[in-house]
Amino acid sequence: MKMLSLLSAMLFPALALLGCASPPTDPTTASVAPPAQVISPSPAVRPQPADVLKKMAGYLRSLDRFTVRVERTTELILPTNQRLHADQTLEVALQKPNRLRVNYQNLSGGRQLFYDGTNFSLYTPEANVYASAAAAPTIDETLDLLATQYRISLPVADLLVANPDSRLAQNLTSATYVGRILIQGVPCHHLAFQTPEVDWEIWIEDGPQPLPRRLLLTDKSVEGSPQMMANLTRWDLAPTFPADFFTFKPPQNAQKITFLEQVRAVSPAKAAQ
Amino acid sequence: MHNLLSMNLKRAMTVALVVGPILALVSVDVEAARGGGRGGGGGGVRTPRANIGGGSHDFNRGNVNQRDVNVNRDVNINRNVDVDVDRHWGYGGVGVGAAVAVGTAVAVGAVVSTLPPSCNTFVADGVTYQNCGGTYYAPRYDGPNVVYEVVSPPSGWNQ
Repeated sequence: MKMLSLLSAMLFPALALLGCASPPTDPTTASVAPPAQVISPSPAVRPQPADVLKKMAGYLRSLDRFTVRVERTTELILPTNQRLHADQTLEVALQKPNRLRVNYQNLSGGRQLFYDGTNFSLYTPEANVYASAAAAPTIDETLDLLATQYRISLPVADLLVANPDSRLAQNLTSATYVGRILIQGVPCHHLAFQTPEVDWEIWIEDGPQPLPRRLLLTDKSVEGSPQMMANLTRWDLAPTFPADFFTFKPPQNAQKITFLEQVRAVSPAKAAQ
Repeated sequence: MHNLLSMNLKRAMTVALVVGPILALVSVDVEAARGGGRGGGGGGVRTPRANIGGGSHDFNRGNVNQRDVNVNRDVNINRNVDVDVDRHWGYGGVGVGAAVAVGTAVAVGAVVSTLPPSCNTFVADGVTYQNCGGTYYAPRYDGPNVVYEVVSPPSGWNQ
C-alpha cells in the first residue's frame, strides 16, 4: 500500500509532464474535446408534417437568390442485384426568376450548365465541347424543358423551383412527422412522406431559416427500390454574382456541338444518306 | 455505296444495342448479338429518380428506355443520364455485363461513349469528326453526356 502511494506520487508528475493533466490549451487535447452541444428545446406541440413542408416552401419562395452545394449519393442496382453507391457533387447558383448556373463536378473536369434567361448552354471542359439552345423565360419552365426535351436533370430540382410545395405535395398517401434530429450539426425536423411510387424523407432546418438540409428518396417504381440521398450544404442566401456570371462565354477553341435530339429532329434523312 | 450501307442497316436490324447506363457499352458485334440476344446487360443497371415530384423530371426509365434511336433498329437505351462517374475506370467495368465488342460493323446512328483507340481528327464544314479506322464519329450531347455518334463519311471524304 505504501509502495503503491509512492508509485502514484512518482507517476503523477510524470503524467503531468506528458501533458495528460495539462489545461486544454494544448492543441492535441483541444481537438479531442467534444464539439459544442447544440441544444434546441423541443416544441410544445408536435408539428404537422404538411405545415413544416409548407413553411420550407414558403421560405424558399421568399429567397431571390442563393447558392447551395448538393452532395448526392445514388444507389445503382446491377443486373447481379449488387448495390453500388455513386457520389456526385453539384454547385448550384440561382437568381430568380431566370438565372441559373450549375457546376457538376467529377474527376475529369465535370460540366457546367448555364441559363441566362434566354438561352441555356452545356459545357464539358474535358471534351472541350459545348451546346446551346433556346431556353424558357423562367427557371421552372427551363428545368422542365431540360428534363423533357433534352434529358438533362437537375437533381433535387423539386426543392429549388419557384413553387416547391406544389410539386412536393403531389399524390401524397401518407405524411409523418418523425421527430427532430441533428443533420451535420443543424437541428432539423425529420419528415417522411409516401406517394404510390416514392417513399421520401426530408430534413428541414428547425429555426428561422427552414432550409432543406437532406433529402432521401426510395424509388418503389424501380425493381429493388434504389435510393437517392442528397445533402444540401453550404447554403449562401446572400451571394454576390459577378456580372455575366450566368452567361456562358465559350472558350475560343471549344467546339460547338448539338444534342442528339437536335440532330435527329433536323436531319434524319441526311444522317441515313 | 448506298446499297452497301442499306445492306449494313438491314443486317443491323437484327442487332440489338444495349447501351449501358454508365459506360454506354455498345454491343454491335453480330456474333455477340446472336449468342446473347440483347446481350448480357439485360435490363441494365437500375437507378432511382433524382426528384420527388411528377413525372416530368423523371426520365431515367420508361419512355426513354425504349426510345427508338434509329428507325431501322431496335435500340434499347437504359441509360442513367446524370450519375456522374469517372468512366475511364472501374465504374464502367461493373456497369453492365454486356459484351463490350465495338466490332467491325458499326452502323450509322450507333452511339458510343468512348472512342476506339487511334482516331484521327479532321474538320469538315466546321464540324470536327473522328476517323477511327474508317468509321466516322461526331460528338453529340446525349442528355448531359458527351457521346459519339457514328455518322456517314462527310462528303468529299469517301476514302
